[in-house]
Amino acid sequence: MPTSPDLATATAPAAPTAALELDAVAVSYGDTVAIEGLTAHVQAGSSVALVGPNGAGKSTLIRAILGIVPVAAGRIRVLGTDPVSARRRVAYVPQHTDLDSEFPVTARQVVLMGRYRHVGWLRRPGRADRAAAASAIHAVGLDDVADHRFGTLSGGQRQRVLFARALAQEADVLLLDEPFNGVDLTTQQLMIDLLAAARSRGAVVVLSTHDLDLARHTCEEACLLNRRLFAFGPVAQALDEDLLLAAFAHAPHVLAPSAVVATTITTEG
Amino acid sequence: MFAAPYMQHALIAVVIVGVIAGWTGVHVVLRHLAFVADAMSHTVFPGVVIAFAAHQSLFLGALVAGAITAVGLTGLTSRPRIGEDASLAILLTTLFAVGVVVVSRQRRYSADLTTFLFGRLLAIGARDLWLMGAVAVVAIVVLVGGHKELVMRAFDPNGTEAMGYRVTRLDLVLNLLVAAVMVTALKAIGTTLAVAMLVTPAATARLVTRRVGTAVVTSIGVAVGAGIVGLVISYEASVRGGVRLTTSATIVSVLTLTFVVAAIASRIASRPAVAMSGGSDR
Repeated sequence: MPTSPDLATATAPAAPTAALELDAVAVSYGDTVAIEGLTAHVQAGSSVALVGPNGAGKSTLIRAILGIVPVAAGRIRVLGTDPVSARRRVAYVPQHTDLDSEFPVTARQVVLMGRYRHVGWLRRPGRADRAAAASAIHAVGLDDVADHRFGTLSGGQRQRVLFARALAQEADVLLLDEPFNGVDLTTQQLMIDLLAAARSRGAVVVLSTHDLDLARHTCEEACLLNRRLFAFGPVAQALDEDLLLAAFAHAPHVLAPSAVVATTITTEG
Repeated sequence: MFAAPYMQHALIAVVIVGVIAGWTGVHVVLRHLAFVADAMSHTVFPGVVIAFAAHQSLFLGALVAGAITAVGLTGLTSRPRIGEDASLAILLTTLFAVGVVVVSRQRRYSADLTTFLFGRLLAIGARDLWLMGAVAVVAIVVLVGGHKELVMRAFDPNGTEAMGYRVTRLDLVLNLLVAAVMVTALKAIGTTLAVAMLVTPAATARLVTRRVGTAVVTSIGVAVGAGIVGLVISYEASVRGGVRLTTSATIVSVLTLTFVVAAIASRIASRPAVAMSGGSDR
């Protein structure tokens, strides 16, 4: 079995607690290993792109950070606690294509869902919740279609609605599953700006993408994976051509475990 | 017509069943879970006849069987992949057959199959109404209290789980609500036709509304309305026309007719709108 040179964990006790800590994480579905031996620490206010081919385990990793799928080995800490306890401070943005476009719900109602945890059972969203939803809708520039049915909006607009829901949650960790998939350039740029704004107030952003340019453009760090970690560190180094070739060249099922040695690039200073 | 106590009881019963079946049905239809209602009807029936054979309360039998089914179905469907629908179908029909065997061995008065399958709306007593009302009140509290969470779970299960809700628990709540509808509908329209009361009004509402809120109101309206209209028609037919119409079958016929009319109407209404709704981005 490959032993990844783990410089990040070696110096862990001295470093300040990272917002997101993944230590030797393995996730499996039944007998299928989706991810193994993944170590990465992410500081507050930072952003990480999860890069890898289809079936590399990007979505699985996001689900593991959310605590929806359990880790088979290793440990995930989110904001210093376990993933399930951290959920109230984590916002997840699914792909708009995952959702039923026939569902009878308006854009505004979808955004309001981001407030349900604050509202609680039995009660209806109050004035403050409606105001938070309205300002999130405004931030993504959808004021004029806020009361249209979600399914009637374009792909880009739907993705913006889901992003607005995450904004309304006022979370400290933002997890986005392929947020740039099938969206127009206006939406892309808007989301890039809003992600930067979220980071500037200290939020951690983790997004999965297969678009390398967008990964370089939106994130400081990248996590290159294909069932296991190929590289983690600043985008320039982690998305190095040789490493990319190594990660993308092998279809997950034919990858020999010891074919490539994982590289963890530590950020100094 | 409603001067006789049995007609008053019947009227109150169809209103109670209509309200909780219509409301719960909207969630069932949003989740595409009509099969849960169907499964429930197959398991509540043997529960009821076993209770009958054991000289226990029929409500209790229905309640226990419904609750066990709700828990069982939640457990089964919470797995990522089931692939067991064939074995589930076999299990359900077997349970149903057990019910038929048990009921056919009874020699007591008019304990015939049809009573349990189709109910006896005109034989409902004050005691039945109290029990039905009690179950309905609990169901309504749950429907009001968990409405937005149930809707969110139907729309976006991953997002709901990610927010920290236990989706499995929400699913159990909905399955228990379906069980509550079955228990309530047992004497009024029977376990088999309760499926129609649960699914048809909500499916009708789904055709003609665009918001969950209006769908709930419409679904309850259709369920209660069809219940009353069906009751009146079967009464008139037997009293004036001398034709015996089973009340529950008449109610289901009215429901089906309403659905067909709504389907045709929405098909006609949506035709020109399709050409116009090519929404553009930017």
